[in-house]
Amino acid sequence: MFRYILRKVAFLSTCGKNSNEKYKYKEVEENRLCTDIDQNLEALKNILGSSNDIITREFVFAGEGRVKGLLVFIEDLVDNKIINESIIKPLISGTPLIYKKENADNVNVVKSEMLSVGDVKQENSMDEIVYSCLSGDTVLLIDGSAEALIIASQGGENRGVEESKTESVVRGPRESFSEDLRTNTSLLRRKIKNPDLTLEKMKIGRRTGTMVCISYIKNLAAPELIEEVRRRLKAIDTDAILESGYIEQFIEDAPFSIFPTVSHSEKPDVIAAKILEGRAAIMIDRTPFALTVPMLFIEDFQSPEDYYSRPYFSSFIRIIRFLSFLISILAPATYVALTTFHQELIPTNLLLTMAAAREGTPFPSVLEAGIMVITFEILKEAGIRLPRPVGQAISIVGALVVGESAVSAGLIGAPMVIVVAITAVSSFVVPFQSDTGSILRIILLGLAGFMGAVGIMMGLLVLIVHLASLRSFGAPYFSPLAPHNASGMKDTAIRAPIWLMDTRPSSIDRDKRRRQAAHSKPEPPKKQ
Amino acid sequence: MKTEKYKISNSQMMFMSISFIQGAHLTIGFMSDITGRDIWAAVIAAFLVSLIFISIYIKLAQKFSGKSLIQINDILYPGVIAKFISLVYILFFFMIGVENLVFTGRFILSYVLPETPLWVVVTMVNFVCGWAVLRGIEVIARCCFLFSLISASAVLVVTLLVAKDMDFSNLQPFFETSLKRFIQGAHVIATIPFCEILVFLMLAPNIGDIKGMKKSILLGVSLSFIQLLVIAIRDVAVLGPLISIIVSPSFETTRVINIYQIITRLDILIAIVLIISMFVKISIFYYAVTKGLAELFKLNSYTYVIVPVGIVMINLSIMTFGSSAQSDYAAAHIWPSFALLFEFIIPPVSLIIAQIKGMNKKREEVG
Repeated sequence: MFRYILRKVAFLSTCGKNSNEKYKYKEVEENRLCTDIDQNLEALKNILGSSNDIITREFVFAGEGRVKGLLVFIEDLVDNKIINESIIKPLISGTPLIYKKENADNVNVVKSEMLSVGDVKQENSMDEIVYSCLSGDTVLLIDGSAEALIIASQGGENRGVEESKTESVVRGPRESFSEDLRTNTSLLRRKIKNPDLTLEKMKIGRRTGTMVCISYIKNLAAPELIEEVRRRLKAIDTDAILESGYIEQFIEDAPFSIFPTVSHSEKPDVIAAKILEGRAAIMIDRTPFALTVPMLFIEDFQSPEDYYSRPYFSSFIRIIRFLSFLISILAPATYVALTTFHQELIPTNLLLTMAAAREGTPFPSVLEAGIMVITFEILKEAGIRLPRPVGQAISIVGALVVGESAVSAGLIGAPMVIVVAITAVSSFVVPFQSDTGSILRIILLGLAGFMGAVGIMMGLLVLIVHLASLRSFGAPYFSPLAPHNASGMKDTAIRAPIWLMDTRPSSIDRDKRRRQAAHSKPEPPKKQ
Repeated sequence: MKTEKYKISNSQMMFMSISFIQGAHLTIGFMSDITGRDIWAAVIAAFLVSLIFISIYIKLAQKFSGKSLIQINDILYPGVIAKFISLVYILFFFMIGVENLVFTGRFILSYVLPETPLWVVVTMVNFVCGWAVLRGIEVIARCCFLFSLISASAVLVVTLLVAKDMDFSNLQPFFETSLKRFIQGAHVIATIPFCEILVFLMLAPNIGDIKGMKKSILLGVSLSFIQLLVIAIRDVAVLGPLISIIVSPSFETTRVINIYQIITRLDILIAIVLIISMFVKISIFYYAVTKGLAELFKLNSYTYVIVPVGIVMINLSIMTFGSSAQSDYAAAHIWPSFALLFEFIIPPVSLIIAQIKGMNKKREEVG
């Protein structure tokens, strides 16, 4: 049955592809430059249109030849200082070097002797020229030559490197990625000063032309993995890439699963740690989040701080995190199963207290739990989306009205409110899984209302089998739990001391190479 | 199928055999009325006997490395007879699957959800198993580590909590049952939990390292034997002579737990263990049946028959037994004699035929 549905879906997607073909860019017929500067300008204007932020600055080179030149750039994307000081100034008032329009060497002379900008490229394809112009570079056309110079001059406003908002740490580097791809890659480069760190650029999105950068360490990441990442990225054929989430949904292994199989982070230290384990990172321009593949389920339970603080506390916190995740998906379901099906499991005194508290509430406990869980999700969503001052009002209304008055009015039992409160708090402990958690919680709640503990068990069995069947870019998703491996256990429920974790995770780095010397245990100097 | 690419590793094999035999935690109940307080001795005897037969199965698998039982039959027996034997084997696995399904369903009905109709429970359990089968046997094998860990820790917890209620003088007098009944009990234990591992022969094509499999399976069987022995001794020590009249001793033992009036009635823990281990067991048999049918009828993929087999399983499990007493009686008195043919007679015969054929071949090569 699944296969049938999948076939339908595949069919639909091929349909989509066919219709996409029709609305491809209208190819520019003359997509090479010619030698006449006026024709070139005409062609450029045709493509770029009449937007008023496009500046075409005509000038004449210093010297007797009076050769014409043309600068094309977009006002707000460029750094004006570069344009004025390093491009226009040497061209107009520098030593006269351009004598004749017919001299084919003019481009090289300008490039090597006049411009004082680091990154200058020669280009004659119109598409490339237009694209670089739109991404903030300056294009220099010289009369008489069929090649243009693309001068890197990107500037404009950017949010600087700020402290991470989604993954805050007490101990550890504060910086996080910003929207600018170059800033982000520089943050990564500064962490890993190794020539093996490779950054491969790629342009995705027909209309947005978003720069995407695959970064990995050449000798650590498996070549098949990088090839697969490249293949999946190349297969993306879409209009727009506006956020890393677009890319994620186009390349993930299990698009129908509720679990994410591509991980993301906005902290350079996290990304650096992951690519040092042999993963590949995908950085996307205009997004402060970088993606990493392959992803393992336990990655969401690992915080960078686990590795920065000492092992005992880290391991304790790890266990707390696993526990919280379980509580956050199981607490309402368990409460419903206990009160509806298995009252005998509750100690007698507690049962009496609970019965007294629930006396007179009108709804069965499944419905009660359902209402409360949904209410919680509503409050959470309202709190996130609203402007901060209003958000506070929401939390007051939520806490007072739902928490207090619903109980005192006798609509909801007090134990239910406690259970939902614990669930809510636990769900924030593992922030990356909180969205999956919300869905699982409701499904398990339904199963518990239907069949009690048996229902919950059935749900969990399906969940475990599903997790074990998932793969992310060739790595088993639920590893090191299923399939189990002993070396991976060092970084699961407990976080072994750093000097003990001497090999990389075997599900990602198949060769199990060491990352540090075998005997790295710190020891006091031996007494003579 | 994409999932079929990945082979089962040796350690997964070990955990799979542990989980597989852990399904007997509660099935030990229906032979306790045969052997009474000597059940622990019957477990030991059964284990020793089973070791011989399990070695035969492993030998058979290694001789035809990477071939399933159906393919082995095709090689060893002539034409129609091979097909017939294979078909009967599939039916045998199918019946074990149904029996386990009935047992699980009836157990859940009588201890956890008394007012639910049987078909709801059975359908739900079978749906989950069928879904796992669809994902492939490798996925089930991968999960077994977690499952066997959960089951083993549940046994450990219950044993520790019940420690103060244990009275080892309950084990005496030794060997009060007659020899005949003792052998009968040992036979039941050997055929039902231990030698059902024969079904692993159907998984042989999916096993990565056939040569190294022997160690992991024997280790797994031994570990789960120790667990079974602990359970048997614990139940006898806690319940004493009561054990021969109680339907489900493990369950009753757990009910004895009472610590400060707070930790009481942990029987749900046993139910959870039962569901997990039965899930593994039913899934493996379910897989064996579908895979066997696919091989017998030369289907492209076993996934086509999952739904029909599941529907028949559900129907049969509702119809076969009128009550759990009936199913327990069948399991203790009828089924073992039936299983005798499949577990104790055909595999040794197959092995002997294989040896003779192998020798002939060698002689031909030499001559």
